[in-house]
Amino acid sequence: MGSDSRLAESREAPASMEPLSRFLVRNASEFADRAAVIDGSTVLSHRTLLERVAALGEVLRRWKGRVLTALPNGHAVVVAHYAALVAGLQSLIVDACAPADDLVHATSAFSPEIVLTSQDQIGRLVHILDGLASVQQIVLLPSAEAPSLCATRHPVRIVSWADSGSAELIDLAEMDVPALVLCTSGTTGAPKYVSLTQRNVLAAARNINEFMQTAMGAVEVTPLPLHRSFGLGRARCLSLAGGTLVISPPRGDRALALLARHRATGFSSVPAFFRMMIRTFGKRLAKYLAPLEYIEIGSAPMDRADKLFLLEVAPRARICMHYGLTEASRSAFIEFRSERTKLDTVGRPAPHVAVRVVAENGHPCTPGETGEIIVRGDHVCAQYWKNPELTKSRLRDGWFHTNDYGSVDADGYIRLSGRMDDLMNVGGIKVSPEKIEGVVRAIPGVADCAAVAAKDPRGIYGDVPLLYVVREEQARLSTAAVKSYCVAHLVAEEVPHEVIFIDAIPRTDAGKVLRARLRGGVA
Amino acid sequence: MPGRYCVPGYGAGLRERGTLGMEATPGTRIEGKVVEICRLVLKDSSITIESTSTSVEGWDSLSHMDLIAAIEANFGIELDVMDMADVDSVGALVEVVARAVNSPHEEMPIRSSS
Repeated sequence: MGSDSRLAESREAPASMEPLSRFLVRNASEFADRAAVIDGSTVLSHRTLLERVAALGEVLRRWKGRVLTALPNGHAVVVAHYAALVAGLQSLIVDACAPADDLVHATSAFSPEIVLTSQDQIGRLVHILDGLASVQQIVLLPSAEAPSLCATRHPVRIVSWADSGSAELIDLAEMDVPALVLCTSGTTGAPKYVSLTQRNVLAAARNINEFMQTAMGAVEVTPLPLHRSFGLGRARCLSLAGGTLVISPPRGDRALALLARHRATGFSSVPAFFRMMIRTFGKRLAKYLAPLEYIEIGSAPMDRADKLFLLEVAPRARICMHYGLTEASRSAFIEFRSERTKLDTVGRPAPHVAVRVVAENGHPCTPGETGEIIVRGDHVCAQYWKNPELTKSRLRDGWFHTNDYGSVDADGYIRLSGRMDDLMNVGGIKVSPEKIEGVVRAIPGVADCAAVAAKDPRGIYGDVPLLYVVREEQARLSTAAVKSYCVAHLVAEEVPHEVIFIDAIPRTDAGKVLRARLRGGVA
Repeated sequence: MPGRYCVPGYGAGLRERGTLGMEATPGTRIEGKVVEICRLVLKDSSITIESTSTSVEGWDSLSHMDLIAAIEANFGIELDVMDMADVDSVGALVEVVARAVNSPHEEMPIRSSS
């Protein structure tokens, strides 16, 4: 490694960055009929993708303002994201199928002027949108499903793909203005909104393709949700490589069938998904993974045994695992085969990225010494959405402070020690204990409660939420009733794996929950 | 023999419906056993041959994989992944299992996936 072993620095200066529109136009010209996105029976060629992005971009740029994209997972998310990007508008992408409370929070925090959704989703969203004074225009994408009937107080424009061929791509985007807002769970329990520029997201895609050696024309299957940093990043990587993104339902057998059906060269998912497939199919995975040229893994730690297993069943693939955050996507990478002796680390900095570990006084740590991991590069977010205090505390002197602890070894490999906050990592999804507690407190008969992370006894999700509840005196509350309320009000990853009744929640004098004591079982 | 399929809380229901009775054809034996395994794995005793992945609350991506493991273990077969990918109902699952089971065979007692 480098002469200064305390630093894990970038290997070269960033190259100049072309806007996304250049790649879309190039793809439509050079690979016009090649599939860009495959989503069930829908196949968008590179030419069709460009036409749709151009058509929707033209519609969007008639209104200046923030765009809320609320669509179910699928190809339309890619079209909507790209269209907002070339229209030069800032957009927040949310899953239209998310729980209503999450949608209300996201939409009210973002105050969108334009809402981009589909004909079959508007009925579900209309009561939320009608409560938003900021909305000036609703844009509806056509959908295969029957349109939902509704009336809204906002003007509605329905997009037709039939005349999309007439539109020309006009790129109004600048590289360094806020372009994309992604939601990520915060240390305080409240969601944080990360504001990324086009340069940020394309720099990350360039770094990823460079490390993974993604070939032009790659065909990748992914069961990842496209509303999140990892999944949406895969779409951009494939567009830069003129390749094909095959969107899979989050089911192991379907993902494998798509790999075979489309003769895929790549696959991406979170460790929990691989665990699930390994447990069910074992060595049979080799039949489907053996042809792969690359695999990308991320969002949560992976067991060493699973890493070794993948090396066996995907013998040709570069198996790349990243460490990153929504704020600094894919800051470090490890390739399992060539860096097999370092499988207990998260690897070294991604190309064009600098990573350091610093002590509390800001000085770089010595090899093996634990400190905070900080990251620098043109992939790092410019700011948090409407949160200057958080921006100031996390982005200092050109470095992003990750809030993660770790160390760098003498060879420059980064070893993660843990999160500086109490977030749980449930199968790659960050779950806030405060959010669970907020919901449970509303249950009649609950006097107090606290959620903590426990190891998933099935060995699938990594963490699972464990919920401690103090019942009000005389309250007849069962664990089943608490669980069923949670199922109705929380997303699946947030639903407590187990509910335990106790006499009191251990707290500090200031009233903060002593989670470590609960995790230790001393309740 | 019906008694061999008894799982606490489930076997009695099966005998009442007669799906695993002595006169049952190989087809209905498979159907009854698949339904039973689905009930165990998906923790829903109301599951029938008509149930679908959208009508059963607990039939998610993780439990679907558990279902595959349990079916394979109990029938002593390996399911075709390409066939399984299209399965979104108990009825479709029965068809895939029936294809994988080449001939009437000695039934194995039901056990949950490990």
